[in-house]
Amino acid sequence: MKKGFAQEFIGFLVVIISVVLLSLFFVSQGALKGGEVTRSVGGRNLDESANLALMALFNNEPRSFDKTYIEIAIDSIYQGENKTIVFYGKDVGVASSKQLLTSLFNDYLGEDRWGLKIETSNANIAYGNRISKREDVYNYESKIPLPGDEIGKVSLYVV
Amino acid sequence: MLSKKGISIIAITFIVLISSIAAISWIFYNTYFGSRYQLNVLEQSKLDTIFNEIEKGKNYLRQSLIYSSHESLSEFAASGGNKPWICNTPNYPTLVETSECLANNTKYKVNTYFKKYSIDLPLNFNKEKFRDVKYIVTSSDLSAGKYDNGDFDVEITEGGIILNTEDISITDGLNLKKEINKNRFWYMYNRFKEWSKDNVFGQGICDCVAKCSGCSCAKKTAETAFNDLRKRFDKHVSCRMMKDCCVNQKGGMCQQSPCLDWKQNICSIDCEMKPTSISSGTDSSTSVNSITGLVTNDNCYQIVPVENKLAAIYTYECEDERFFVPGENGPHPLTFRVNAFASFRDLDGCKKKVPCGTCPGPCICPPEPSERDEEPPEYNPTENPASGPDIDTDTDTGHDDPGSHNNPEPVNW
Repeated sequence: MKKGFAQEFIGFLVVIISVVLLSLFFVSQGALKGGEVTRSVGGRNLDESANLALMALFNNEPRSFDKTYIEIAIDSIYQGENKTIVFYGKDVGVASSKQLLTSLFNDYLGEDRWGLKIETSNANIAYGNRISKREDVYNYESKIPLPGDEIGKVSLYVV
Repeated sequence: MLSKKGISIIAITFIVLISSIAAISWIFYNTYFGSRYQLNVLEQSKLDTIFNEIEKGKNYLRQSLIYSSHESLSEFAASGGNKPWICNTPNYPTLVETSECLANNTKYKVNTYFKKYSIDLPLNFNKEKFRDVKYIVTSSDLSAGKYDNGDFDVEITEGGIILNTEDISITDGLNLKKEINKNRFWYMYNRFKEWSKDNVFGQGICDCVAKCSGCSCAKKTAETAFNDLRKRFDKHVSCRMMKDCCVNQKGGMCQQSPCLDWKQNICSIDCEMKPTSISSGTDSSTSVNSITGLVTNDNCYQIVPVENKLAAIYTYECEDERFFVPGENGPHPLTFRVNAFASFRDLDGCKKKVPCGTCPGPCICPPEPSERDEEPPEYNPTENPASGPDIDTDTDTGHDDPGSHNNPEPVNW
């Protein structure tokens, strides 16, 4: 009788352990998936923010200038020695592209998380932080028109 | 009665069966719903990427439209629309002509920008050029000054972007509209147009011709016209005037006329001279003191009309410092430059003292020296009546040789 009981007990134990291991496996898979989903959602949110910031660069206009942010940035590169300041006439005054762009991208992406580079035939100007090449850097690029039928590029780096 | 062994086998089988069903269900669920969901996400991700590229393209084209419009306005202003705004009579480009010229130039520039645009992703990308551009400016609003600071729309239509992959194809028709502001093109156009209509320059040159005057009178006329132009602008606009050329000639005798167009190619611009409706303010009729009864002696003479011809081209340039407009060297003041051209002749603009019988008309015979009460009036010039027409150099300016056409002298005010 004891032999039969022990055999059954071992059998029962094997089944219990198998079920437990199987359950643990399924739960860990779910947990991992959750982590991936969280990361995926986080990445998507950052992606959305960066795209919105890039759209704002082309479509939003700071007050009293009646010009888009990208236009102010390009004009400041083309006019004069200081590539981050532009004069728009007696009625409008001076615009600082550095100040305006820093404020815009800090609102969308937070400080220290972004870098912007504008490449023109005249000069290349960088705003924000220097972003080194890492795996977790998101890069967004867009072509930009320049005065005189030329074409340039704007690159946004986000960590 | 079941043995214990039988019961344990049933229990084990039951548990294994339940576990297997659970495992198979979970695998089936992940395989079917998970991978299908993954496929959907992948498809959506592709679409998101394509739509993003289209939005980037639109952003690029909107900015291109802004630059193209400002450049077209600047080019038109700098050249005056490639025609003199005074060609004896007012000759300014109408609103329709101006809008069409601006629209054509803007369309060309936007399509040039569009041609240069490309994307870096592995997608098939095709473009359809824009076919129509409109400057939405009405005559009534223009006269009312609604566009004095810009604030007018430019619309470009019938363009397109086509993006496709192996299994997705998206076509987006492009119609864009942007408001152009902080550009005083129409403000300056309006004032130059009114100045051209009043035609102080043309009328003044005609008066010079009728008064037997030359290039010094033309210069005074140009200055009067300049002052008339200057007072039409506000304090933000500075103007200057440049002389391009001036030529003065004398012609044949014995005829009379009002101001007539003088077609010459010494000091000339290619423009169509409309029938002259200008008459000089100076009475150019020959007034001759005639003595009844012909007394023939060696001192008799005639006062005869002599043709006077005068042509002048002046450039008027005004610069607006209120708003700077985009340009290849960065934002700069908008410069509006127009030419004023007048070329007139008056067959009796001058008078000349010649021997009797040169022209039909009365002869003047002064009395004998003992009976003389007063000196006869003096007339200029006193060339040999047998000589033909010649070019007169105005000593006031000293720059009236025919070669001065390409050497404008700026006069800053």
